[in-house]
Amino acid sequence: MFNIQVRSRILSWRPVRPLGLHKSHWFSTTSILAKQTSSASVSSSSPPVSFFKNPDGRKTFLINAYKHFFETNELILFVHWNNLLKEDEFRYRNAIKNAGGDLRMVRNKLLRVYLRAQDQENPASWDAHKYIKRTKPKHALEPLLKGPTAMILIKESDPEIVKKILKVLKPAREQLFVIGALVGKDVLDVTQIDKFKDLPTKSQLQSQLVGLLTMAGGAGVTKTLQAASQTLFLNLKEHEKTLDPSSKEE
Amino acid sequence: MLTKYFTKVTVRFNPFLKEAKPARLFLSSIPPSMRQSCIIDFKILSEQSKEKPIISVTFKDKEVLEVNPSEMNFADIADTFDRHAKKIRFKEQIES
Repeated sequence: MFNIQVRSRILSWRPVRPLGLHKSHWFSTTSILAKQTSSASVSSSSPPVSFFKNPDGRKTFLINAYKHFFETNELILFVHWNNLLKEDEFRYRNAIKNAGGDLRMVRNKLLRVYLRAQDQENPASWDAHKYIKRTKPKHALEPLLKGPTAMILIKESDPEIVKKILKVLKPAREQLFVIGALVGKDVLDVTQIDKFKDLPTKSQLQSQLVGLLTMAGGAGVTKTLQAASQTLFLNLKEHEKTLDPSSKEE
Repeated sequence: MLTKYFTKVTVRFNPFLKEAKPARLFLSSIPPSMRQSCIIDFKILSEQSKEKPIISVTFKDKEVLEVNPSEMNFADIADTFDRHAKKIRFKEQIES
């Protein structure tokens, strides 16, 4: 009985979808394959994608999943993890989730493939593979992918969330620690992350700027901003008068 | 790598440089069961820091070995520490 269950489970094994990816978005292979089949049936102009690895396989899936993560998250913290016991991993994963992040272990070589072929439409395709072989591109994040690495994905680049996550990771000490980060397109090291977490949030900065402009309005900021366009207008008007004699007579 | 004779480990490295790979592999080779008996001290260096990268191990017999991870690969580092650990193991086997 047990053997039959185990066997059926093995036979029905499929690559696991990352949590939070909607069926239409767990895109990687399925959506691309769906595109392929639809394009074949509708006979559209776009050629079908030929994958370097098995299109249904885990490697293609993961490369496309990394693409999705990098496109949908503004801030990614890279952490080193050390032989975490399952219960510790579960605890940290939950704590990070409550702080506003999402912990994901990384397959270094596959993430490296994605980073190198980031400019390509399909980083898991044959074309992307040829591009990597031909141009040999390097990414600034590649040195971080040596040894057991994980990513903490944060949707918005909010220093407050980074502060909370660093607080969660502090008691983890050597089990889980931050080694670098990607904010937008900038790669930060540990000291830069420490500075970043103390920055005010985007909304706070915007409100500060608005406050500053309203305060400085009386000091002639708006006048100075308008001055250039006003002088240009007056100069043109004068020029028009000199050119057109009829306006003088009037 | 024989880690059961370690009592204190100090690791300093910059994750963006060459020394990161051996240092991180060394850290990951210490099993969770050693967390009670071995103190692990680590520091992440940045571009501005002037400290040198280091892996330092204090053994049960209070012998301290230091290596520079930017000059050696992980296999060489493991060999260096194993050489002393095997001496301690041999001593223990004779005494018991």
